[in-house]
Amino acid sequence: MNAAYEVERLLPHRFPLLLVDRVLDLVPGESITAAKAVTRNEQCYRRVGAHTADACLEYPRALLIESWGQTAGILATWRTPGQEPDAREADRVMLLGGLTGVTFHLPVLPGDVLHHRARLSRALSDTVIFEGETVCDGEVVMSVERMVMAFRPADSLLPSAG
Amino acid sequence: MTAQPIETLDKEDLRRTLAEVIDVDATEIGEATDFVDELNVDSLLLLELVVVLEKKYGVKFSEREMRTARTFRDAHALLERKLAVSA
Repeated sequence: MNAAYEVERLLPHRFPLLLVDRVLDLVPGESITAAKAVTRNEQCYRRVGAHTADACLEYPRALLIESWGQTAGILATWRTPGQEPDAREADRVMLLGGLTGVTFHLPVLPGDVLHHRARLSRALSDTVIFEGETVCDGEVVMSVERMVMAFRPADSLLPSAG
Repeated sequence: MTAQPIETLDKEDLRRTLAEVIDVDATEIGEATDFVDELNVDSLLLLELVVVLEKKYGVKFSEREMRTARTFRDAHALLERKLAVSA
């Protein structure tokens, strides 16, 4: 499996908001582990001056959640390589429905390589619930009790014409 | 050790659990309060409720069951049936 290619095959996100680098492990319908390397060159640090203290370089928590959520998204949209999405799949948009019990245990800094782990708790046709955590150097930096992900048809989200 | 059958489900504990997920006061959940019509529970929150209850009570709901249990009374009755079967 070309694990970096898989990310772009399964997620619609692109630079500068594609926040997963590589899929490390995936059990369809069950669980996923993916890697994300945080670097000083990220968009979120572009206005941060030189000689900035570590405390000011903490990777934004919103992006950390987004990155973890994208990992869960890869699990949710997983299909066998070579298999094209059907019309219904291609037309739907992935949305964050809600988050419960998110705890940030340690700050994430440039140079950290994160391993996001997400497990599928329950899935209906258009709604999926995940749980999991993000680990860096063997330590949990963030844990997620529940994330609700919803899929909705793209045209239902667009403003009506006229 | 043999598992003790759960004779009665702690109603107030269930009410508190539901209230916490729906994010309302437990007093707002009456016996016949309709989660969807009266507490504005949408399909996303409904699934979240299901996940929380399944985890807490160690049962599994079918998609049809989770769509029909829309009041506290229904949810309680459904859970009691499920627990009686699994006990």
